[in-house]
Amino acid sequence: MLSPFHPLQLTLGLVIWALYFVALYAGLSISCQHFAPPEQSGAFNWVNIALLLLTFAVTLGLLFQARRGWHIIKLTKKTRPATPDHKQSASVPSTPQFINYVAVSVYVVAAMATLINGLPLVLLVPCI
Amino acid sequence: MNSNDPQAAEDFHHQFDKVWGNPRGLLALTIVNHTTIGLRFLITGGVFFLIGGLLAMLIRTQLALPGHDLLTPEIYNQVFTMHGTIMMFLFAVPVMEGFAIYLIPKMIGARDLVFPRLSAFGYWCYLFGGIILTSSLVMEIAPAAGWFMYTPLSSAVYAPGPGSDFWLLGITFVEISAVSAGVELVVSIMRTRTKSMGLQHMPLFVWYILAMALMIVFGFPPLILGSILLELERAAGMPFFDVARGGDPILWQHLFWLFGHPEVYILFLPAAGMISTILPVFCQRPIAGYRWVVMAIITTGFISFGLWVHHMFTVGIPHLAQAFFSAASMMVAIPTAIQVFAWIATLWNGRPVYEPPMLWALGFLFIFVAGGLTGVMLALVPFDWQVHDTHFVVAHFHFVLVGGMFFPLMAGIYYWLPHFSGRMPNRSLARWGFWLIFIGFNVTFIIMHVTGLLGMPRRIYTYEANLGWDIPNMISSVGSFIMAAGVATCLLDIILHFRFGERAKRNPWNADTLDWSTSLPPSAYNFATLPECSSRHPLWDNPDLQTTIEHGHHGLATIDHGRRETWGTDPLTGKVREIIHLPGNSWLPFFAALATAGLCICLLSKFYTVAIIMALTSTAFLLRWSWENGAHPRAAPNAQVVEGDPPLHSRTHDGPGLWGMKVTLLANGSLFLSLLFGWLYLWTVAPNWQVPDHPPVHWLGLLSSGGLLTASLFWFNRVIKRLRRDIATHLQPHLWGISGLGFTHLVILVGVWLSSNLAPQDTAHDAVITVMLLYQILHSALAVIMTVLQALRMGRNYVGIHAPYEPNVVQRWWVYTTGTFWLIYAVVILLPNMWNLA
Repeated sequence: MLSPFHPLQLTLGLVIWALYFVALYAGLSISCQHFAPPEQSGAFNWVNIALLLLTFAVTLGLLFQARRGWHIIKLTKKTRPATPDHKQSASVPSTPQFINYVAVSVYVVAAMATLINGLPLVLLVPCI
Repeated sequence: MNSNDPQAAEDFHHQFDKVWGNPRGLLALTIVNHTTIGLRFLITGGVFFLIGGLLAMLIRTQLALPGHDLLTPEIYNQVFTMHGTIMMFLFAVPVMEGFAIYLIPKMIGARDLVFPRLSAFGYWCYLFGGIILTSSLVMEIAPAAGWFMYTPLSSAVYAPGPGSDFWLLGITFVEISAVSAGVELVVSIMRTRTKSMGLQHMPLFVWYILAMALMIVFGFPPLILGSILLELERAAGMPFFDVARGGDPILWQHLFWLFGHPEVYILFLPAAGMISTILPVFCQRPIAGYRWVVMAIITTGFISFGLWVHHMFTVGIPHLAQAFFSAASMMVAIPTAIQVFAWIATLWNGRPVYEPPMLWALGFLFIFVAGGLTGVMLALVPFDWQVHDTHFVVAHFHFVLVGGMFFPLMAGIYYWLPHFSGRMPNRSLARWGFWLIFIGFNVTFIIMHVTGLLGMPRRIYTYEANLGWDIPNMISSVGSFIMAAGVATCLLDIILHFRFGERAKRNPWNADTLDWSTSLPPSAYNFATLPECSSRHPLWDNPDLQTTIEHGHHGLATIDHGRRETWGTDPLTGKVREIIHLPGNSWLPFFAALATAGLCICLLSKFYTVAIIMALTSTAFLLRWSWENGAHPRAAPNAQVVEGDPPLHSRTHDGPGLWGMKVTLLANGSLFLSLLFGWLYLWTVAPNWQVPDHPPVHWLGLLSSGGLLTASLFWFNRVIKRLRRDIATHLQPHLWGISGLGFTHLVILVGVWLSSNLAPQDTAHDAVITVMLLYQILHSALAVIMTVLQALRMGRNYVGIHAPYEPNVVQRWWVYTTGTFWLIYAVVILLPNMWNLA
């Protein structure tokens, strides 16, 4: 598994969101073009259910990654000695810590974005 | 030199000037230095802004009264099309790039950008492309289909004149400039930050520019592809957007807005970077929530690519798909709001001083937040349906673009004015200018929301009286003239300050970033010595930094070797890895751009034979440019460095060229993926998509061609592995062998294309395959040419164990070319067969 301090972590959460978004739009478009479910089936049909499952799987994966990074932040806080110097530069984290801090927030945002993107699947009929 | 003696310091700088100084007269065309190129971008962008502004005044004068006949409908169409085109492509993007080109090396403690000739080439492409495009307006043959050139309105049937061609070719030409700046900025930020400047120390402006540059790299290629396809349709009859022959006009909308919406954030992010730089300085405290802002920048960069369909809510896309894009459109407000809260918190905790830059920054906050809120309204699909293509939308995007780009730009101009001239602005005139523009803007555009809600469509050249639109239009027009008076006042202030402005003292605003540790105005090399920087606020932590830099107390203090040098550092930590040597002034960028301009003009006038000559000329200049690198006598024949310093980059296996190639391939990959998207889109959606019974391309020929290409790649990889182990025996024969194998692949590929049954003018299906094959042929040909050049360079001793860097760069091209080949094979040969089997 990719180290939490790897620079790719800065964007990986949103890369996953972007791939999910493409899969969501392309999946819906292709399904509607070739295998459209009947309009009467409402929002609960195989297209919406499959895309909802994808949404939940991606959200959980992103949250898992965020939790992994968050665990490291907590460990770092416990082990870091208190700094008497209150200068701004003294509070700047090291490069790996910085990457982990930002990556955790990016994973949380990506998870939120995935969930919000998928929410219309609960309400709307897919192919009209 | 490491002394506090002023005379010694002067001699020291004189030596630097000899190596870095800019020539005058005609030779000024050869300058590649980022400070000069950045200023040229800013001034040229300013001129285009005035032209675009004059067109805006014509529009507002025409619409001031009902039934007004100042402009004919044809001219009005040209005027509003060119107003949008000039403001977006010739003013907003280039000016932001100009600022980035000017500031980035200064902020990251480097002496220049990493590919100075590319900066110069980009500028000339921009200038020539802009002149070609604008000349159409003077000849009254300007494009008239709106700045987003929707098909079929812009196609040959409905726009038979050359207007659309001017747009398509001119904009593609200008976009070369944008993408080259994007590549250069990414590599410069990642690889030339000064010693110890880790990611966590980068000024926020640099983060913003990094995001902007990457967005350009990914966002511009879809439009470049779309423009190429539409020009091919217009000039060669290939029907990508013609429904009757299997195309689809909606494909153009997708390609345009795949670029077009990120474009808004490409403009907003650097502007927000200026605000994040200026507010802390005038509050004299660090910005609140640095890491949150970094996260917001990254998030904005990504999510802004997921909104493009909100421009297409009325074209008949399924409701559920619209809801996906509606949700994403609302979500993008969240990272923007994070930044707004960080700015408010900074103001709250600081002691703001209301100098001219701060006025513009606060004006930005007010206008941009208002524009953002109407953006959230437009993200709601039912509301969008009601106001689509009305003046409400026009008012909204002017709030976003003028608020989100122009106001911060003015803040930035006033903030960095002492940098450009060494003088301070006139506070009184600056305040007059701000208030006139602020009031004029709001008078013009607040009421325009109402005009739109009253039902006035955009792009109508006049309207009847008594529709309720008379008074709001008159108010908007009056407001626009107040705004124009404000622009004139600011312009006067800026011009006068060069002569009468008070001399700026060192770091006049007490700023915290390295850009203020140069002299004012700065020298061509920015820093005589390169300081270590492990702080976000180097000048607040060490106010004497400028003095110690000037007196040679820091890194890379030698210049007697005659090379232009800057640090090459680790992209994460800022640890010094090598010395990057930079090319000096050169005619090559100018002539390469001039030949490309000739190509553009020949294509416009349909002199295709001359166009081919121009294309070959331009390629020859670019190849000569690539020749003068590495160990070439005009680059760095002598690799000697001061004891203890790292080696020159051209004597290592890594370096900026390798990064430049990777980032260029990202842009290239974005274009290729857009082409694949076009193929799959038409296949899925186009109502008359026609698939022939038999594949039009011979699969076995294509397969054997691909086999040879793959063999060439494996051979090249083996050469690189040996080179990394310092084994260069028979390197030149190996390179000749790879070139020969690659050439055989190319010949077979061309043969497959020529012997195919493709009818690219009859169906969109065959037209797309033709473009894919031409794309592949071009890439394979370049792979062969680059390898031949490497073999020749090996013969001149420019490449070898002592300089192993360049084959590593070329290898990436082979990898990419092989990858695209097999993807094309998969989608053209395998996928249709599998589909038919299913």
